[in-house]
Amino acid sequence: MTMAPERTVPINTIKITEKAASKVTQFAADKGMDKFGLKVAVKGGGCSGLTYVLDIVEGAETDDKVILQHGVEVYVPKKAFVFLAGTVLDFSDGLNGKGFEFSNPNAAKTCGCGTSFSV
Amino acid sequence: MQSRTSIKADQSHLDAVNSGCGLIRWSSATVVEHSGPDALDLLNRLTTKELLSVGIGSSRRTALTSDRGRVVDVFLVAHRGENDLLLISDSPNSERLISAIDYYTIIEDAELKDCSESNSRISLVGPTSREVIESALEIVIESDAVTTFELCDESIFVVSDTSRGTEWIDVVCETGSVENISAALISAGAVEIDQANFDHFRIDRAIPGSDREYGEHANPIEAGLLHLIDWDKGCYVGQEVIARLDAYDKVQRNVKVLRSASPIAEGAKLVSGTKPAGIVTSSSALETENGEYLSLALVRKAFFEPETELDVEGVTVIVR
Repeated sequence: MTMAPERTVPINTIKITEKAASKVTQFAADKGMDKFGLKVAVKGGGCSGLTYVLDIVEGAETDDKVILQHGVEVYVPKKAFVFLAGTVLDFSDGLNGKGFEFSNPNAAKTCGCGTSFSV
Repeated sequence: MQSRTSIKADQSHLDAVNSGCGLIRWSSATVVEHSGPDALDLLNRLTTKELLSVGIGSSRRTALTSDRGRVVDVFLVAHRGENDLLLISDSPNSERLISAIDYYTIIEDAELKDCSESNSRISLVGPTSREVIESALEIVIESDAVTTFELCDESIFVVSDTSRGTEWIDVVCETGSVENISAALISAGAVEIDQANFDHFRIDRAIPGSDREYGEHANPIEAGLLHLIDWDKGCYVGQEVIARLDAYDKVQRNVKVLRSASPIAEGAKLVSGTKPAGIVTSSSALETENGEYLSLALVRKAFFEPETELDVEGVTVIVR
């Protein structure tokens, strides 16, 4: 019998960990932004074809899906959401840390540096 | 017993492309308009050549590869105007290029429009091509540039391409104007070349052809497109695979010209004894001046040495 893989994040959302949310808040404070959100998107390019986009912005755009987690608003363009549904965004620091890290269940293949993927 | 009548390559056609100006009318080729503020940046992120430095009025040929490092298409990017690109490919399959770029267009502000049906393409090939077109159309052509000129309220685009190893200029116009423009170019000294003689020239010069030497069966290094890879440009689709193939010397085949006493079939397998040695990708049906036939093949590394003898379906071929 084949078991479906357990999902930790429902497929109708994406999850940002507490640590990642805290880093976003810190970066926004460093930039002197009172009102901010985290834009998470996907654009064409990179070794595997699709590249993650992260940006701290002042607000959502009309076509963005807005998800509130750990006090941070996450904005995902609807066109990019199909590639990101179920993703967990974490942050790893320290000497071996990679910064923001995506764990994307839609990614069939990821490039060596982890910034691009294919589905 | 069946006898075969051989047809020689037309020396006047070959002289034109080798030392004058040959005119090739494409029966079908891909012509796509790519517009929008993100169009050039998107293509720069997707393809093998650095494109951000291609300013308005300039052009550059590039390759789109898959995430497995195989060639999807090779095309000329002509930066015609603000947020306005013209993409020209040798492939008759415009849908392939459009769907590949469209797949990667997610948050980008860029649009694609297929103009392959409504437009025609003429290529001028040979060392005097620039003089011929400058004389015929009274325009000045720079290297790797796109020039737009108006003729009877119609915009005609002239794009020079230095990536082919010979002088090469493409003219894109509305299909209804192709006869008049061809006639003007022929009056100025161009010689119209038929498909068989153009293929013969292309094979002789080892110029890779669409869906022959390059395509989704080959990576750009083995397909003779090494010059279309900018190694220091950063990421593009397939870059990791292509860089690894190069760094670890893993490219196992390369495009080679073969000579034989009789024509050989495209797609036929090359062997050396019982060992596989490659595959024939293009074959000329025309006989050379010295009675030989030419082909292009993706030949395995062990057989690259000139004068290596191989066998294809009982015919001996020699690596040139």
